[in-house]
Amino acid sequence: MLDNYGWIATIFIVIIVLATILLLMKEGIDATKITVTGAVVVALIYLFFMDWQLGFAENLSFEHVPNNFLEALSQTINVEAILIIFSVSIIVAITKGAGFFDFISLSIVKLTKGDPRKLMIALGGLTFFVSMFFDNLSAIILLGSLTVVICRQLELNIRPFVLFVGINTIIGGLPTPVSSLPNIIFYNLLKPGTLAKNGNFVDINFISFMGYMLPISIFFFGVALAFFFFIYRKDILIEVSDEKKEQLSRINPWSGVEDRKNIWKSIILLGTLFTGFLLTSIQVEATQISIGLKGVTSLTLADHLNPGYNSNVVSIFQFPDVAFVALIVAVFGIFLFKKELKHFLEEGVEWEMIVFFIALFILMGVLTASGALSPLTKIMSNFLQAETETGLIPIGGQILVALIIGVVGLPITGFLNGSSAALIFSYIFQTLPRGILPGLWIGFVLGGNIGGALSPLGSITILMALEILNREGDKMSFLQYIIRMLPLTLLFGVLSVLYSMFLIGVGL
Amino acid sequence: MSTELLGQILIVLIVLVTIILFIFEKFEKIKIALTSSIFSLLIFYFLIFRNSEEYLGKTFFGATFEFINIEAILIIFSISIIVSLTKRVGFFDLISLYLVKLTKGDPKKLFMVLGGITFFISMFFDNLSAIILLGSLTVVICKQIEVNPVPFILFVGVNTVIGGLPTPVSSIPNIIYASDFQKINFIKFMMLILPLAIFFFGIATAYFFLVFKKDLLKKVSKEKKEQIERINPWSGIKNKQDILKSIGLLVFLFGGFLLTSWDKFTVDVAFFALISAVIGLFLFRTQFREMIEEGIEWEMIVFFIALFILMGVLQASGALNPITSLLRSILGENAEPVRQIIVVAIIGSIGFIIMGVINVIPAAVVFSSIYHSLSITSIGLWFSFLLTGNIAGAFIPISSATILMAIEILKTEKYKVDFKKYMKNILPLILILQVLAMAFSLILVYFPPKI
Repeated sequence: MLDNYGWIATIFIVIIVLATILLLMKEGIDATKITVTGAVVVALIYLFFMDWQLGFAENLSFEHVPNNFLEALSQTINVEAILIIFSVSIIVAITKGAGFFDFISLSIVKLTKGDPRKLMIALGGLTFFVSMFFDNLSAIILLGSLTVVICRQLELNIRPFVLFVGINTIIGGLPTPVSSLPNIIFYNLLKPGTLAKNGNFVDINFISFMGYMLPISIFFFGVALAFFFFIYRKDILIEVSDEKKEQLSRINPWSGVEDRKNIWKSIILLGTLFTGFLLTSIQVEATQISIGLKGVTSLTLADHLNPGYNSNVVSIFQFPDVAFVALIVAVFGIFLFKKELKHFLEEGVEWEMIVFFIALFILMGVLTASGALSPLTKIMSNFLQAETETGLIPIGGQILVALIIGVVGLPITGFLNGSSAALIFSYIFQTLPRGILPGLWIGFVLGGNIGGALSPLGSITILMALEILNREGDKMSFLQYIIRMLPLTLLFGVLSVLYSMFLIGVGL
Repeated sequence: MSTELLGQILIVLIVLVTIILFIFEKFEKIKIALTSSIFSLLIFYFLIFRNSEEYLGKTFFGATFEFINIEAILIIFSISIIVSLTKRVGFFDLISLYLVKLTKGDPKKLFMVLGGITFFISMFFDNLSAIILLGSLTVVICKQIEVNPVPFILFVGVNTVIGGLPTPVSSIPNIIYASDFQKINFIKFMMLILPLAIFFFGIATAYFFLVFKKDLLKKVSKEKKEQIERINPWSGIKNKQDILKSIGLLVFLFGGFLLTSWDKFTVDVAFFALISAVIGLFLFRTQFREMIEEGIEWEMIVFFIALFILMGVLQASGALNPITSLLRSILGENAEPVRQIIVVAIIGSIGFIIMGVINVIPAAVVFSSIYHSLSITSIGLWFSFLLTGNIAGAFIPISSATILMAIEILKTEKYKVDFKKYMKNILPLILILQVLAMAFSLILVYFPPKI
């Protein structure tokens, strides 16, 4: 409509997105309302003042832009991510209702026999484990209150324990494509055929993702543990009286479990879920053969640079998709536990979070479609121009981009929120040239997660950890947290960048 | 046997089992819908999607996401927020009580007023809200003036169906059919159907007066009448400002709906409903969380998504092809009016029974996709689908949730309306309405209005 003034609309869209993000930082704000309003307003500006079809085609690389604006808009929503949140929250609600997590936690806590060091490792490890399988929020809810109860019983200072649990929700969010919201977004927004190794396209599947992320997250766990042992040595390296220890050993993990069979059922359900997740990695190869296409992995960059190359071939059939597996397992769980689905739809599923994410997807989608991110992507693309002779993207350029993401990305994630940052990073990544090494992408993923530990604004789990402390009368302000944890988060940031650079350097 | 044929057979089986399970109501509906949509997706993937060239280059999720009617979901989501905002402040109760007071306890007037309000509410909002709001009010008032509530409640029930006709958003079948046929705009739709719906209201009123004359022409003692007159409509209202806000919001919503008909206004009905809902949240200073937890029927939304996927797979598998190719062969190449009449007759009779038996909402998803694959633009034919899809909702007690609820309300008040009684008292009316609706469709076939 107003082609020449499109840039004014872009500026308005950027301003509204920034205003939305700033408002989200305010405590006690109705985040969903703000985000939905922001999304509606930017969508209206975009619809009225810009060539929306062109924007979707150019900046979001839609292959077919629907004629209906709403349909086009709805394609910026990542259905897989929403479906994963939906299904996993049902599974968490089912197993939580059966008392599975309390049972496991109490059993392990009992094993520590009240030794503060062991307890620290056990609580942190449990948090890591729970947030590895499920969302980080469930982890802090489950473990946060347990930590407080046990520390009170042993008369320990709760602060190091609660903070360690909080930090571990973030570290435990790293290992798998579904273990944290940023990961869900990064994983599902990675277009097939973007990454390449030695000139061959590669796809990241569940297992290869874990291959990249699990070792570094276990390493991070160790680093965090050492850090906590050092700065809170006075609180942790103490002896607890035998009397207190005995109290702990009297805990009966079965006390909260109504039906022992439910524990078995929970184990079966989680086992099925995880096996299904692993299976998604294997099926890709098989389906590629069955559809008679040239396997994506055997496509070389030279094929890609060939003008006759059909980019459609790259969008392969990945099945069963991680999101679909989660949904199947959730419905299976409903039958296994003979529950009413209605009950979980009303109480188990975090609809507010789902609405929030849909709005966030639209907000960031419109931001990208309006071309607001193109200056950023242009800068990065400059470093990532393929060399004409080899068709490969220079290693040096990739290392440089990894460094930029580390230095700029970390504070952005820390003060925005992990999910918005993950979305923006993913969109930037989508517009970068094809043939980037997975190591650089891993740098993006790490940046989008680790930044969350920098400040309570960056991650809801850290915010909740501080709230738990406040509620227990051990007040810790935002600033106090940032200063206290700064060495650790900086260390994480440096290690992330180094890891990413290392991967790029060795050509992974 | 080709894998595609195997897939079709399996998917048809799943759909049939699903419908049978729906009818028997032994299991949770939403559970059935979700489970069968997952099964259908698995079959679709392994037996059809992977082998078909049609889907080459598409992701599985991308392909299945297209089955979901986003506009319908968004309309249901937004309207339920608006209904819940205005209901909470007592707007509907105020209007209803006010009008009831005006009748001064005369059963005839009361009858018309209750029916009229139901018509009005289900014209703007979903039918279910209408029966929930009016059902209990009707029972209370009837008890107060000591008249038999059966004709009143049944009339309210029938009016949720008639009041569902006039606009593209007034009932769930309309939402589904209308988002599939975007050539007609809001105002033109209303100009065609509103007069018809008002006419239907007149016929239904006359019919009820004829069948239930004993109950409706009863004299009410002066004492009872006075009780009605003493009603204070404002008694339940906490804040009078909220009523003004409700009116403002509803006017804005409806004004916007009308505005969507103007082709320079690029916002469509679903998007406008969302805008109004967001404005409503600010106007009433309500937390989104409250609405998400209480206002929105998530169960219904998940149910619809599952249904859209199931029916989308049914269509994509090609299992509906025999039906559509039969209808298409009847229509022939040019779809002359005479040929269209035969299709209207088939939809109006066989389609009517099918829709009534399997419940109008799943039926709307199937039939709208049948209409879609006929790839013909005939407003008369389209209206025969849409009108049948609404009226069939009153065919038998289980055809729509509103009639079912009307009967449930009577049951809790110890008035039993069983299947036989319902068919004896209400079916003749429904058949009359259906015949008239088909006659109307035929007129449109012969004299298509400019759209």
